[in-house]
Amino acid sequence: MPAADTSASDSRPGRLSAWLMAEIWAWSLALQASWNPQRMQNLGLMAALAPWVRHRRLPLPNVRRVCRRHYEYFNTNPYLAGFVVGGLLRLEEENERAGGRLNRQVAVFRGSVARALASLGDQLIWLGLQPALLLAACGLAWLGRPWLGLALVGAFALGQLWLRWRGLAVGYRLGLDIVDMLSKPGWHRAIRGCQRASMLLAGTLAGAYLVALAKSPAAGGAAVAWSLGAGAACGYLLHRRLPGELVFLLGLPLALILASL
Amino acid sequence: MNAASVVGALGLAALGGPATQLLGMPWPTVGLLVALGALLSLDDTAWGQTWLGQPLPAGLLAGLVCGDPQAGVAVGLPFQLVTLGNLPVGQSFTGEKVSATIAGVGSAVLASPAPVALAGLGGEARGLTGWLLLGVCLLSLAGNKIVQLERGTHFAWMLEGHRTLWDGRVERFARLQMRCLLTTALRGAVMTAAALLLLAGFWLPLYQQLPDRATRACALLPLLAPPMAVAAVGDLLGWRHSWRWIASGLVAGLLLAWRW
Repeated sequence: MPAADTSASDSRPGRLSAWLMAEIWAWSLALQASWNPQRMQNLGLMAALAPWVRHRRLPLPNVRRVCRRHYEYFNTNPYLAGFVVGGLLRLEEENERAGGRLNRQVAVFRGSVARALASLGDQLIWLGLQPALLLAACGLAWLGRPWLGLALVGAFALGQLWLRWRGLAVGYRLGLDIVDMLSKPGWHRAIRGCQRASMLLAGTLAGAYLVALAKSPAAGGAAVAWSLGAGAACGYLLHRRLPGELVFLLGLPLALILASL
Repeated sequence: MNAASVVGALGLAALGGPATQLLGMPWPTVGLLVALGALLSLDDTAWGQTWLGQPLPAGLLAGLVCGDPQAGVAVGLPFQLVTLGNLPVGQSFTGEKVSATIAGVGSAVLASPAPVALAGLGGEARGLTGWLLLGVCLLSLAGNKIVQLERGTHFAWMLEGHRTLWDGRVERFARLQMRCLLTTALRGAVMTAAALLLLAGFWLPLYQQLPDRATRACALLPLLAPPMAVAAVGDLLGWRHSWRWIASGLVAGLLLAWRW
């Protein structure tokens, strides 16, 4: 028995059974597992779509067509991937009902929505939420409340699992209308909010740290000067796109010179 | 004495140090740390990506496993600040932070010559913390190469998936994906064990042999972490847009800390 309803002749979606959706969701969490430099998340995407293909019991030529269509270059933000996967399931069902007339539309949808979500996700998650949340966790740890910091990360973990489940359901419900959802100004407000929180938290942490350094009898003004001077040099190196670990290692010769004085 | 015997003697000496060190370690704890390394490596790059594999949470969890969460904060907090600017976006992924962090915390608790404290503002512990952080950074950078190698093998497995385009067996995708997940878990476990061995067997004992000047230099290194985090945020978000917000935060931080 197929898990999704195929009898409707209009474009209303069928219903994904909870079990099928859970299976797709679990595989979509592993979207990055097979990341490769050539086609990025294509194997991850097909692994997420595979339970749906199996449950639909499509004839072999249709299975081949679905696989060929989606086993191409694919890259999106993993946290927002549910929207693309859900939307693709909906469009594939509509395409099946339309006898394959929407092949091109499905492929264009996959590429463009994936790109849009990759860009939004990079801005919102990697450049906004991640630094803000980790700086907040660091601040809490610095204040002697590391468990609160861990709880904050735990809350994000649960929240993003829910978002990925919800994304799948919303994507499936909206289909092509995801484009309208992407154009809502709320995304950009959220990005601005998260990024400003990161900047504020970075500044607050630095201010509190400098005062603590100046007050410490074992550190004092010289340590503040070192911290500021070497920090500026590190900033320049980070701007050259060097990884943080390497910049930290490059601080050693500087520290050796200072220690010799 | 020929060259081969010299190399052999050096090899034995090299293996002897960590082997002796490892013999004295509590094996159940080492096993738990290795399992944690496997799980959090999966989380970091393959399944879930909940950020529990980031240095601070990973350090805390490793500290909890070893019975000393404060050591987890001592290693995890500065390392988190140092790597705040590393974006795990596809190809630009840099550093293998999970195994390096767990091994750093594990070695600090199980094999450190002195207690490692939060990279705070004074005391003897700062030099040792700086030295440990240097080792953690080196391991993280070395691990990046291994992650890239692993991703190269994903390409070969991805090509294997092309067979499904002909025979229509979609379960092959799940099998290949599972293979990738297992490889990541194995990589995490092996790298955590190797990193623990290196830090506990070589790196931390070396600290006692360092000249005074080097230990003083190491004591300065943890002080780099907070300015690096600020520099990373400013650079990621663009100084032109961010300096006002960072400056406002700085003033707020100065006032709060001064009053406190």
